[in-house]
Amino acid sequence: MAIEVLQELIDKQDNWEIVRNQIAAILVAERDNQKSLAGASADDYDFDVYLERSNPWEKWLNFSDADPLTDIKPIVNVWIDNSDFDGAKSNTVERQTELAVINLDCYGLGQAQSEATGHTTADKAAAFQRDVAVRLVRNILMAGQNTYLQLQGMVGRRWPNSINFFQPEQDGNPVQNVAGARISFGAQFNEFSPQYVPETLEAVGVTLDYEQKVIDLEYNYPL
Amino acid sequence: MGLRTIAEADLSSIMEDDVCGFGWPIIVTDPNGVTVDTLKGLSDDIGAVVDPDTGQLVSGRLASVALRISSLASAGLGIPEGIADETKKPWVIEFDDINGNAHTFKVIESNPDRALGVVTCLLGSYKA
Repeated sequence: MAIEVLQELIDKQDNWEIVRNQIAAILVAERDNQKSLAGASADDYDFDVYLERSNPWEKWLNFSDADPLTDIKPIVNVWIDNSDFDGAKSNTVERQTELAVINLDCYGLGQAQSEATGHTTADKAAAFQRDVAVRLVRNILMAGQNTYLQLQGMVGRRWPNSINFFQPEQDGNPVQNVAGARISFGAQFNEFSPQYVPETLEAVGVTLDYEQKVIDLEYNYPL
Repeated sequence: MGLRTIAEADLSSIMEDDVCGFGWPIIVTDPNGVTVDTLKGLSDDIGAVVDPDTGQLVSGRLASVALRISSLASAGLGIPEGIADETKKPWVIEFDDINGNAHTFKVIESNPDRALGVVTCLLGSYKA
């Protein structure tokens, strides 16, 4: 039996790709806006955004006294985790309602530093840096302007499912003190798939004539 | 002299011999600001893979030193330890890598072996 093939090239992105990329784009654009609004304290609102990276903190690996770390702003890595399809809200032909979970991993680096009367601890500094990233990301994506992730007509709902905080440095005590958090972010939208392209059998022309009637009604109310 | 005492004495050639062994100059500063730059020991600074419990293995860097406890005592120092109190200075360790680049660390965890007389210190980055 011959396999029926599609009539068109699949040259589109699925909506989960568009939504994931849109989240990263929103974070970048709003980060820049927040830095602009912050003025002199712009550095407090700065973070790096990565998309689908497996090892974004590699830049914090190599340093020495002569070549110290200078770029220690928090890192946010946006990556798709999973998606579920809701059969009750879909049809088997062309539209599937999808609930995608996109992880927003936030990393903060801390460095212990000598102070006049003591020192700052790296683990606490790392946690505070991570907190900045979590705070900014959640507020940006849950802002009113981003109710539909600026994809009206595509995204029906977005929601932070959970935030899990973890301390990567606890295993093995590496030199870099890095604290992390994962924002599990849900977005609901529809996916569409290629369909039959109907063939036109015969063009039919129809002319409609109509007559508009204006009816005046008069009611007699008893006084 | 028992075998254990002999083993401790052997630490001088195993850990502190920087001519024929793997001994390496290590500078130690205690929380009181006392710096000793005559100690020798074993130093380690190596890249490693770390599992941050996220399901993704990422690059990490592990640094440690091993010092002879009796040598620390002879230099007037105690056993290094991690200092969590931010009002105090930490134990600071400095050593060069094999290429001559200086590195300054803070002791974040120490694992003393009082049976053999060796303390291993796990190190974190520190901006002096």
